[in-house]
Formats: sequence, C-alpha cells, structure tokens
Amino acid sequence: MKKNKLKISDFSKESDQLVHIDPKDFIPLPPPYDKIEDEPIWKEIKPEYRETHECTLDDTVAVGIPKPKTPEEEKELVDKFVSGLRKLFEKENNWTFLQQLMLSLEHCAKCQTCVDACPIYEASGKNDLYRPTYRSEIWRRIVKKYVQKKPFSSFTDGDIDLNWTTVARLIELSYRCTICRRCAQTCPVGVDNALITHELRKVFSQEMGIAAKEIHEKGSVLQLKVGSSTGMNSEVVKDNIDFIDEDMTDITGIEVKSKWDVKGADLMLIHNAGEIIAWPENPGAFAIILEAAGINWTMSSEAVAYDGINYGLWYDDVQLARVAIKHAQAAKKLGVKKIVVGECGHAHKALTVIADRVLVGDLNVPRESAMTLLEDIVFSGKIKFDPSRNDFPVTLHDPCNMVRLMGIVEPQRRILRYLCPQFREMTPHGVHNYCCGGGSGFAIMSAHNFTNWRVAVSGRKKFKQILDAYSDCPGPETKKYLCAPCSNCKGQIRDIFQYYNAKEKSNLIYGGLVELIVNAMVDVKPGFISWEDAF
Amino acid sequence: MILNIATYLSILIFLITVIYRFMRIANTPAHLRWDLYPVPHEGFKKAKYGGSYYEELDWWTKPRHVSIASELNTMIPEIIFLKGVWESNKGLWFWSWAFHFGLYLAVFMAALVVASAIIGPASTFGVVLTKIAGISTIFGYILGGIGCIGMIFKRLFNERLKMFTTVGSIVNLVFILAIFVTGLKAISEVNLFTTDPSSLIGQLQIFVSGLVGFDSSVPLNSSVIWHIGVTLAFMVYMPFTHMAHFVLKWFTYHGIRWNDEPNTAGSALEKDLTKSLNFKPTWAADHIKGDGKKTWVDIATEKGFKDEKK
Repeated sequence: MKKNKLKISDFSKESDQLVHIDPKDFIPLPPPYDKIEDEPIWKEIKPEYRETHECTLDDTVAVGIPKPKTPEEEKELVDKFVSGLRKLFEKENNWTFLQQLMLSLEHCAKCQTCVDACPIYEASGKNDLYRPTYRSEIWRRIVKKYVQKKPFSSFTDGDIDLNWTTVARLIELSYRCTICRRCAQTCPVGVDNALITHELRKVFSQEMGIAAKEIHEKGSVLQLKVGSSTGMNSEVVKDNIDFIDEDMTDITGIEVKSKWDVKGADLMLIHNAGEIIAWPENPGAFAIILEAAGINWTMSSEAVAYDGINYGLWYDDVQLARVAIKHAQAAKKLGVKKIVVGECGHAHKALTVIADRVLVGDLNVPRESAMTLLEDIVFSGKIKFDPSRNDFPVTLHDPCNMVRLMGIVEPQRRILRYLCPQFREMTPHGVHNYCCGGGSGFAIMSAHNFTNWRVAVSGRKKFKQILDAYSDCPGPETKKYLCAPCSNCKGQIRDIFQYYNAKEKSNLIYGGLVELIVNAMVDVKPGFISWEDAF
Repeated sequence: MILNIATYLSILIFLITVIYRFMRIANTPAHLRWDLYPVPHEGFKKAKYGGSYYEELDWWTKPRHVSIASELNTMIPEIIFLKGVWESNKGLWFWSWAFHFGLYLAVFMAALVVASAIIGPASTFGVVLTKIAGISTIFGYILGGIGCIGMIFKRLFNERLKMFTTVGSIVNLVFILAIFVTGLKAISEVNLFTTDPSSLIGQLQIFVSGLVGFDSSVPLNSSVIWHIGVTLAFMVYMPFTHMAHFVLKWFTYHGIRWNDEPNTAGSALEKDLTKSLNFKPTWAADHIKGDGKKTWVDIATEKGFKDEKK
C-alpha cells in the first residue's frame, strides 16, 4: 500500500503489509550522509517468523504477537483488549491517568496541528501511519464504538472494525511512538497523543500481559527479581564499581573510592546501572566530582536501588510503582537527606515527577536532579577548572524526560557555557528539542530489524540536528563532542553513530556531562575524554 | 410561547450538560503528574525557556512562586489569537482564528444584548451597548461565516485533514455556519445599526426582556425567530461534542500540563492519593493479578515477579 493513501479503515483490513518504509522518502541528512545508496540495508525479518507472528504493520517488528491458531484465540485477544480498554476508564483501575485520558478521548478537534511536531512522522517522509493522530484516532473510534457503545458513533466519530488484525497492529503501533510529547506541546486544546500511546501500552501490559520483551521481561521484571535490568546483583555491581574506581584512579591520577551504604549521608546517588556496563567513565566521573567537592554521598547496594531505571514509566503503572517504592525504601533505610538521580532522563522523571504521587508518608524522600547538584558544585569554587581543556565543539542533547517533561533546562547549560568554550546549541533546543529516537524503551529494543527502524527513522531527525550543529566543522579533522546527559539517549546515539559511521566520517563522539566536567578539572591528568578510545 | 419555552429549556440543558461534563472531570481522583513545559506560572523568566522549580538545588526547601501574570501572558494570546495554531499549523490558522473569533464576538454580542435589555436599551449606557453589540454582530457573523466555510473546505479537501474528517465534524461546522447565515439573513431583513426595536439587536433585546419578564407575547420577525431557533438547537447539541473544549480546556492546561504541584507530607493532595492507593484494581495480567481485593498498595509492594515465565 502506498504511503499517503492510508485510510483509517485500512488498519483493520488484512493485508501483507499496511505500509512500506522507503528510504527515498526519508528526510535527507547533510553530507557525507546524504546518499540514499549509502543507507545501510535493513535486516530482513525471517520468513518463518513472519509466518507465525504479526509483522504486517510496516517493515519492522517490535513486539511480535504470535498469530492465532484458532478463531477462539483470535476472539480472546480482542475480548481481552476491550476488557482492558474498559478498565482504563475506571477509577479503581486507572486513577493514575483517568483525567488525562478522558480529556484526550473527548476533545481532539482533529485539526492535525500536532503532526509536524513528530520527528518520526517528519523523518519518515510524512508517512501517515506515523502521524501522532493516526494511532489516537483508531483508539478513539474503538473506545466510542466498542467500549462506550455510543449511539451513531460511526457517524459522529468515524467507523472502525475491531478484529484480531486491528488489535495486533495496534500493539505494534503503540511501539512506534517515543512518548516524547512534542506533539502534545503544540495541541491548542491540550490533547496528548503520547498519553494515548502510554495508555494503550498499559492495556496491553496490565490486562493482556503483552509488552516489548526488552522493557518488561528483560527490563522491569528482571530488575525486581535480580536487582537490575543489566542482570547484575548487588555483589557484581560493587565489584564493577571497584574496577571502575581503579581505572579512574589510573586515568586521572586522583584516588577514587565510591561510597556504598553510608548511613545518614547527605545524598544517595542513583545511576542507571547500564552506565556501569556501557559507559563506566560516567559513574567514575561522578565519584571524582563528588569526592573532590567533599560531599558526604553514598550509593545503595540494596537490590533495585543501585539501578535507577524504571521502565514502568513507559508501559505499566504497577511496575513503575514497584520500582519507585524500592528506590525510596532504600533511601529511607539509609536515612539519607535526599536522592540524587544521575544522568538518566527517564529515571529522573519516573522517580522525581511521576512517583511523586505514589510515594506518600515517609517514603516521600526528597529527590532531585544531578544537574542542579553539579551546577552547584561547578560554581562553588571547590574545584579548579581549566576550560581550555574542553576547547572543542560541544553541543547538547536535551533528554525529553529531563527537559520538556521536567523543566530542567538551564543548569546543564550554565555548566557547558562555563567549561566548554566552543559550546553551541542545536536548533531547536531546550523544551522544544527533538527526541533522540530511542525514547520510551526503543534504545534498548533491537530484536529483528528494529534497530534499523529506530535509527534510520525515529532517530533520523536527531542525527540531522546533531550534524547541523557542527555545520561549520563537519569533517573528521575536527574533534567533536555530543553531550547527552541520559543513558538511554546515549544508547540510541551510540547506535546512530555506529550505524552511520559518524566517528570515522565526522570524528564525532558522545558522552555525558560529568565527563566534560572531569576533563576540565585542573587536578586531573589531561585527556580524560579521548577520541582514540571512544567506541 | 414555544420559542420562550424552548429557550428556557435550551439554556437549562446547556448549563446542566456543561456543568455535568465539568464536574465529571473535576471529580476524577487526584492523578499522577503529567506536566509539560513550559509551565507559565513558573514566572516570566522561567516560562520563557521552560524552566521549572526542579532547576533549584534542594527545591523542596524553597518557597514556591506561582505567577498568575505569567499564566495570563500565555493564555491571552492563545485564546484571542490561537497562537499555538499560528505557530504549528499556519495553513489552518486564518480559518480557525476567524471561526473562533467570530464565535467570541457572537457570544460578546449576546452578553451585550442581555445587559442592554436589562438596563434598558433606551438608556444612555444601553444605547452604547446596543451600538457595540451591532458592530460585534456584523463583524462576528461575517468573520465566523468565512471561518466556517474555510474550515469545511479544509476538512473536505485538504490532504492533511480529510483522512480524519467524519460526518460529525462537518455537521458541527455546518451547524455553526447556520447560526451565522441565519444571523446575516436576519440582519439583511431588519436593520442592525439602529437602536430601533425593529433592528436585529432591538428584536433580540425585546426577546430577552420577554424571557426575563416571562412575557411571550413579543412580536419577532420570522428571520430572527429562525436565527434564535438555530442558535438554541446548537446550544443543546454543542456540549455533547468535542466542542465542549471551550470549558474543559481548563483541565487540560491547569489540571494536567501546568499541574506541577508537588506532593508534600500532610497535604490534602497526599490524603487524596492515599485514598486512591487503596482502590482495588482488577488488572488481569499475570504480573498483577488484580482480584478486586488487593489494593494498589498491596500490589505495588509485592515482589512482582513470582508468576513470571522463566
């Protein structure tokens, strides 16, 4: 089926493929990434998998619902979906988002003002399937016709057939939105398509037990079971941090010793444990800064509390609450004054904003961002800096969860303006930033050919934006640094850079904010950030 | 007589429906936060770039400032000029603005008619109000009519919109267009710019006086009766549609996007949340198994992995 010929009714009709993704339609990237023929070839979804799983939405697959073997199985999926939708509108089941959802159900004017705000829709070449409103419209019509059973809803609100294909495709389509909420920012009425994505994912998870494997089974479930979605238990985490401390001591010439389980510490630092595995210099840099500033800090070795991730934020309120409670309980047990969330955007929002209305009583331990703490340290005069050590082009990626959804915009910028002489902004930036394309769990999802989609489509706008920020020095002769103070964003950016070979072609590396701070510390041996050692 | 009774009923249905829809949303339980920045009540400086109180070290120890002036600075251009549509959907902006501004002027006219009818159209102030109402009517109806026609064309023929156009969305616009058209027809048949009782505004003032004084014997021009009839029918219809956003938008902004109220110990919010945490969900997935007996607290403090597949 050709793009831009898509109708709402097509969604329910069985077909080999609802839409195809054609790289010729993508928005162009700046040179040397502008040749379509140089776009990496997408991995094929195996024919035997296609035979047995739902793969008819677009050219990728994120969840992969097994095809039904009997009409009863078909009916079961549809019935469970309707049952879940009904629960979304019951306060006992969905007090958490009931008000938001009712308003987004009833007040969309269908004006399409929001659509151009979506980086996925734009980057795909305006493929109708990726309009933020397409998914919402299908959901809205189903709710009105099959849940509310509103008289004449087909006439007043538009018709839709509800069958196995509709539900299976909707499960997939709920994983084609990063929940960045850029579209919601533009809605004159205040309708929120990203919220609808979020609530759809909740129905699939909370009622039907269906979610992307990486965020549920290998994500929140593993975190609750073992202590971290990385699979690390408490002992392994401590061992790894010991190794990191040793490495940091060698690299910086400063004795580094991370703190564990210090009772009554001024703050409990909580990292995304993925940092420990993938970007050890990040927790290392935090330790260097906190020690140099003389702060009484600690981390918790309690299961779950040494990993700040909270994937429930993207798909399941229950999982979100379970993890947030564990984080708060660990802080309470240590008797710390506050929790400080490290460089992880979704952990910021989950623990600080969303869980704010889950953590009542003595679990309501004060929580804040590492950005404000770092700003305070950098400008306190406790550490001496030499900004000339960071004299290379630096731009900043704004993690949606930390910036658009929490309003933490300036602290990280004040640091960069002070410590990085060649700091430059992307366009647009701050609360109007573009998502990295890895939001809502995508950064950790890579089954089949999903990496192709999330890099070439959902991450495309961000990559273009990054390259445009260095338009005065695009070539490999200039070392360039992208500061992304968020683990998930870094994961996505790592994959984008590898996919397009950005290190070779543009001498472009990425990292966090703390690395830049340590790189500029006078007491640290020069060269903490190294282009040679970067991936 | 029939027109008067229809008017009382229409106003009643309109008010009951709007209040019901408002209260239905207002009575939903305290929800999780879903703020979206910029949040203008953070003050002019922070609203400009979208900053929040989370930018301050130990933010919970600082007094929280809420700037109504900064909120108004965002709300007024949005309400009057549809700033958001201008910024993100320029192709639709003029038609949408004309449509909305026409409606604002029509509502403004109605308010002036009621006020002047009550204070007396012949009084000095009444004459001024009548003249303003006349100007508001002609501008409002022409502007609104143009906006409606433009929006209907956009919805039917614009690639961006037509995929989402339903019969209902066209009916809504045609209904509003009918108000403007019948109004303009009435203006063409009766004079507008005089304070004479035979003018449109004069006729409407007589009608309002009759409603206030329960007098149904007032003579009205048939085109005016048509105009009033269509308007009353719309008043009954509108609150049942998405167009009720004119009042419920208050929640999408103040209740959600700009709701950054932190939960503090012993607050009314905390009490509401504690109540909600004791709701008993029935979510059926294996990792929850809500049976309608366990509360949210029970479920959220369970291990959460017992029944997971290995």
